[in-house]
Amino acid sequence: MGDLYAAVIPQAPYVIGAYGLIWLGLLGFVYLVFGRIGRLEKELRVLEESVKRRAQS
Amino acid sequence: MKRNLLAEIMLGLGGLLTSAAFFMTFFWAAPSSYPDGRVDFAQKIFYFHVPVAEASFLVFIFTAFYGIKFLTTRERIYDTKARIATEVTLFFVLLTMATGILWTKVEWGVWWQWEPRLTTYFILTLLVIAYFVLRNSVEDEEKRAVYASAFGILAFIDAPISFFITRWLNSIHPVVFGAGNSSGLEPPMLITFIIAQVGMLMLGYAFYQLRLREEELKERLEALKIEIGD
Amino acid sequence: MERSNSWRQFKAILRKDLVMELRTKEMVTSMGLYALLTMVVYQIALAEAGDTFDVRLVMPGLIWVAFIFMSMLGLNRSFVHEKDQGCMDALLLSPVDRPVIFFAKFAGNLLFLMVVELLSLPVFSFLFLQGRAGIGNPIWLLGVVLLGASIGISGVGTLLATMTVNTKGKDVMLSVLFVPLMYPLLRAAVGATFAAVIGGPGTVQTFWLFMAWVAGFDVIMVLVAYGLYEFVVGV
Repeated sequence: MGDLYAAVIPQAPYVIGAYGLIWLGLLGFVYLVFGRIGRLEKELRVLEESVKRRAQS
Repeated sequence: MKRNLLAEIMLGLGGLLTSAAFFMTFFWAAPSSYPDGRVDFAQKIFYFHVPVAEASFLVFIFTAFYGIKFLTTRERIYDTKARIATEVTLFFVLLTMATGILWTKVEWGVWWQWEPRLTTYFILTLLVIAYFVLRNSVEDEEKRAVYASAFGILAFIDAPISFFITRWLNSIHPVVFGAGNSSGLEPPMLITFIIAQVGMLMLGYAFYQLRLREEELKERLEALKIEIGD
Repeated sequence: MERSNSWRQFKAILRKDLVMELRTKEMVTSMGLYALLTMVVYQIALAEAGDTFDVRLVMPGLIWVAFIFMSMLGLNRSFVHEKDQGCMDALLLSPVDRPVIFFAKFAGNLLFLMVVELLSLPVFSFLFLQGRAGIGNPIWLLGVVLLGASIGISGVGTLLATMTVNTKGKDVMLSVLFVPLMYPLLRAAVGATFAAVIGGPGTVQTFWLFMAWVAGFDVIMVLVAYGLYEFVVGV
């Protein structure tokens, strides 16, 4: 078991770094895209409503 | 607005599979060891590094595919699709580079080495970046689309050539699959890897679809704005 | 009939480029001067390496670096001219087949590039190789690499320069696209040149192995460039 720790501990930062980057990248991508889609949809709704109102009046 | 159900399912499933693979990597797959018996902990990077790299290649195919489709049909949507595919490619390429560099530091003791596989992947990175630099430097919309499609196709053909040219220059990058008949991985390792790979491809598909949806929304918004402006 | 017509058009475009070059001598002088300036830079690079340093070890890389940047200069020039003087637009309006334009420009660029390469190689050996070990293998092997790699450079370069001349960055844009795309070709060209320069047992075989790669790249990339040219020109 001691051997295992001796091998794992010096390499751990790199492994953690690699997985950290991957998760950060994947989650960041999803977060950003969903944020932008949400904003666009909201804007679109507002505009569509104003178009409808204009058509009625 | 619910046309992207498949994309959302793929996103959920991909997230689930990659998360599962992540836990399997550390709690199920046996640690690999060096020839002298020491534990090779950095090998854990392999379970996500390789899927991300494979995803980058597979998504890049669509850059060329939609590039050809655009050139033959001249429909703008295909150019948008090619651009988004390249964007997702760039995303995966950067992740591959980052994880690869960390792995290289542990196993080879240096952050970077001009080794055939690394060199050619670096070239691929430059080609993908060049695609966007090219897009940004053309003002006319049609020209931009045509040039980008043409360059995307050229880059896609060049990438495998870069890979094959190094086949007989000695590479120290490990070849896990395709060397001999078996991968040399024990079943738990192989299963973990495959789950990570499938999950990553699903994520790649979902990312592509989500970005496409964003672009479509943007376009509709533009159209509406013009309509209101009249 | 059809074929002879294309051939005539090809010759006409090529002749136009040659006549213009003979009159102004602009391309060959600017490319040649550029090559000469690179040699000066190489002198600086090798200044502290000492007299015992075998320049042949780095010579293949040095000459191909010079040639690739030189070729971009020429390619950019050749299309800036077409654009500024409205030649390209006139060509596209005339009933000339697009592939003919590609092959004519390709041939012209290849010719100019080869001329400057063949002029600067002796200059390089005059400046750097005198009193040192000479070229190991028969000298005509170098001619083979020069021709082989220049075909790929001019072929792909003709397509790319047609595009980049319409972009904002022009020459910078050309190098951003061109250098990574040329990597496999340059790598193989340097390998072949190295085998030709060093000499010794087995190097001729290595030379032809690398040349096979150069030839493969040429065939694939020139065909693709030819296929894409029709779409790219005149949008």
